[in-house]
Amino acid sequence: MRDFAAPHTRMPTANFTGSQEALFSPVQVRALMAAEFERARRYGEPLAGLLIGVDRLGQLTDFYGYEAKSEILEAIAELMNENLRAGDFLGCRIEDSLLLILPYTGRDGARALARRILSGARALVFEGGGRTLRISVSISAAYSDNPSSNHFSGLLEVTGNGLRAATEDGGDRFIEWKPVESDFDRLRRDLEDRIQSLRSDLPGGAPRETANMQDIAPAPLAAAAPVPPAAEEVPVAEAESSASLELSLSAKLRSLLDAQAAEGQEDSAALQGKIQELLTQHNRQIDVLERRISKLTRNLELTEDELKRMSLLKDVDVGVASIYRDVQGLNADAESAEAKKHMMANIFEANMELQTQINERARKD
Amino acid sequence: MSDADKKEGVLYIGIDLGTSRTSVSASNGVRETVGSYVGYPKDVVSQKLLKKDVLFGDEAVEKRLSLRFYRPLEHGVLKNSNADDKSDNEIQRAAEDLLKEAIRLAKPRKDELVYAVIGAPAQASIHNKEAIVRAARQTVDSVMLCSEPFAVAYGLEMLDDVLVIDIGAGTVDLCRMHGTMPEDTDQITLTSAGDFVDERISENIRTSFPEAQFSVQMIKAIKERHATVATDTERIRVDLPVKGKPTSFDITDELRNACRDMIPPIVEGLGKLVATFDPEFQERLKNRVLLAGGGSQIRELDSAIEEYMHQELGGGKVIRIEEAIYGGANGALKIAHDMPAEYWEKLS
Ligand SMILES: Nc1ncnc2c1ncn2[C@@H]1O[C@H](COP(=O)(O)OP(=O)(O)O)[C@@H](O)[C@H]1O
Repeated sequence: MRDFAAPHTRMPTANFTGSQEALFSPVQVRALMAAEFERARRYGEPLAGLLIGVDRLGQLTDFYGYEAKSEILEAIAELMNENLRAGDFLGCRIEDSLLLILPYTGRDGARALARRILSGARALVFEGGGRTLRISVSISAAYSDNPSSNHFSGLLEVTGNGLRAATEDGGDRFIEWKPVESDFDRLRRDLEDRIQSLRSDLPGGAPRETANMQDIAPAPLAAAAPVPPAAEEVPVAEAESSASLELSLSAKLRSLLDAQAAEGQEDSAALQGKIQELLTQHNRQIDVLERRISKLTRNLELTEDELKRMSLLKDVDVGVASIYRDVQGLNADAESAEAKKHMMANIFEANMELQTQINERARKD
Repeated sequence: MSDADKKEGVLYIGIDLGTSRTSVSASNGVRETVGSYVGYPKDVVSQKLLKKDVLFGDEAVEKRLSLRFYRPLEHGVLKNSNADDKSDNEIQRAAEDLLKEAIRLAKPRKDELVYAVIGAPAQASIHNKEAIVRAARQTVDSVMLCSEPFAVAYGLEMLDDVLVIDIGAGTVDLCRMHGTMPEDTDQITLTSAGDFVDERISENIRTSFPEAQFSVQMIKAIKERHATVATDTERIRVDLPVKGKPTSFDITDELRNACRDMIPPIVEGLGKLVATFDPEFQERLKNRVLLAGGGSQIRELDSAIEEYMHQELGGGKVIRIEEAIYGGANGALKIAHDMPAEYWEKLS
C-alpha cells in the first residue's frame, strides 16, 4: 500500500483534501483560481482547466469503504504532483473530482498532461481486503480562450459537463467538451467523417485517425467553424428554420460529394475548399436568419407587454378627479395651524432623510 | 407620463398598510379596503384557470390552495425585506403588488399627479420603511411615510398627548403620541390581539361543547359579527355542525370571556405608558385614549376598557374612533392634504 500522507508541503497552491496544514484552504484556492483566470483573460495568456474524476468512484466506495475513496483521491493528487511542479498549478477538490487550473498552459500542454495522468492512473494499484484494485480516470478540459468558458464559472461548467460526458461514454478517457452541439455541428461532424473515409480511400490519402484519445485532435473544419450560440438562446422558431436550411445544405453537400465521386481524382484540399465555401455561405444565411428572428422576438415581446398593459387598463375607468388641489395646504387660521405646520415639517424632514438613505443605498449597490 | 401632462391636478391618497387589511382614502372621495393577502398562481394550470397573474384580499384567501400565498405585512412589517433568496424576493414583490393594488383602487386619473401618505406600523424598521417607499415610488409621484398611530390621532385632530390603542389581527399596538414620531419608549406591542381572541373563543367553545365542529375561519367570522364584551346583551346563538348536522349553540359567555381576556394586558400597558410620562400631563393623557383598528369594533370594548382603567389606574376616558377600518387611511389623507405643496415637490 502506498503512503500518501503529508504530500502538501510540495504543493503549496493545491489543497485536495481540505487539510488544515496546507498553505491555502480549498476556499482560498478557489479564489486564487478565479483570480488567476481573470489575469489570464486580461492579458490574453493561455490557461487550462482540467477536471479529473475517478471512474465508478461511487461503486468503489460502496465496495471498499470510505477510506478507499480518500486513498484513491489522494493517489490521483499525488500523480499530479509527480507530473507538475508545485508552483505551476492550482488544485482543489470539487465534490469527488479534482480540479486543476494550469496558468500559461494551452491545449498542447493540457493534452500532454492529461495523457500522463490517464496512463498514470491505469498503473495505480491498490490493495484492500486481500484484493487488488485497479482504477481509471476521466479527464475533461476547458480553456480560457474558448468563448463558452470565458468566465470562471463557465469554465467550471464546461469541465463539469465534459467529465459527465466522458464518464457516461465509459470512462478512461480525455474530453474537450464543446458546449452546445447543434444539428449543424452534428452535420458537420458527419461530413468530416465522410471526408475522412473518402480521403483514406484515395490513393496515398491520410489514414483514419485511430488514436485512443481521438477526441484530443481537433477536427480540421471544427477549428474554423464559428461557435454555435448557447442552447438556451435559440428560440424554437429558429431551430425549425435552421433545420430546413440544414436540409438544403446537406442536399448541396451530397451533390457536391457525388460530383466528386463521379469525377474521381480531384485532390482533397480542393474539395475541402469547396466545402468550406459552402459552409461559409451557409453560416451567413443562418446568421441573417438569426438576426431576423431575434428582431421578431423583440417585437413580439413589446407587443405582448403592450397587450398586457392594455388588458390591465381595460377594466379600470378613467378614474375620479380629485376634489382638492385648490384647497391644498394648511389654512392659516385653521385650528392649531402652528402646531400642525410644525408636525408637517417634521414628517417631511424624516422622509427627506429616508429618501437620502434610499438613494445612497441605491448608489452603493 | 411626463410631468407636463399631469399639471392639471393632484390626487392625494392616504394608505393604511396593515397586517390584515390595507385601506385607502383618496381626495377624489374613493375609499377602498383590501385584505393584505397576495397570491400568485402556483403553476400554469392555475394561472389558466384563475386568468390572473396576481390575486388580492379575499379572493386570494379563497383560492389560496392554487396560489403561492403571502401575507407580506405579517407582524406589522414587511417581512424579510432585506433578504435575497427567492421566496423572500417574492414576499417583497407581494408587498409591492399590494401597494400598487391599493393605489389602483384609489382610481387615479392619468392626468393627475399622485401624492401618497402611507401610515406604516410604528415599529417598522428602517429597512421596512425603505422597502415600502421604494415600492410606492414605482407607482406614485411623491410619497411620505408616517407612523400609523400618528395618522389615526391626526385624523381626529387629537394632536398631542394621546394614547392610541390599535387592535389588529396579530398585535395590539399601544402608542403614546406627543409630536409626530413616536420613539421606542412610546410604544408597547402586545400579542393578545384579534388572532388571539379567535383562539380563545375556539378553546372556550371546545371546552363547553366538545361535540361542535368548527374551523378558525368560522370562529373569526362569528366574532366579527357578534363580538361584544357587554354583560347585558341578548343571547348569541350560532349554528355549528355536530357530526355534519347544523346544531344551535349559545356561545354568549364563550365569546364574551374571550374578548374580555384582551382587556387586562391593554390596561396594564396603558398604565406603564402613563406612569413614565411627564407627571404634569399624566391626567390629560389618561383621558385621551383612542381605540382604533379592526378589533376596536368589539361592542362595548371602549367602556369596558374605561371601566377597567378606573379600577386599575384611578380614571380614564376612551374614545372609539368612528371608522375602525378607515381611521388610519383618513388620517393619512388629512396629512397628505395638510402637507405644503413645496414639500411634496421636493420629494418627487
Ligand atoms: N366587527 C369586528 N369585531 C371584532 N373584531 C373584528 C371585527 N372586524 C374585524 N375584526 C378583527 O380585527 C382584526 C384586524 O384588524 P385590522 O386593524 O384590520 O388589522 P391590521 O391592523 O393587523 O391590519 C382581525 O383580528 C379581525 O378579526
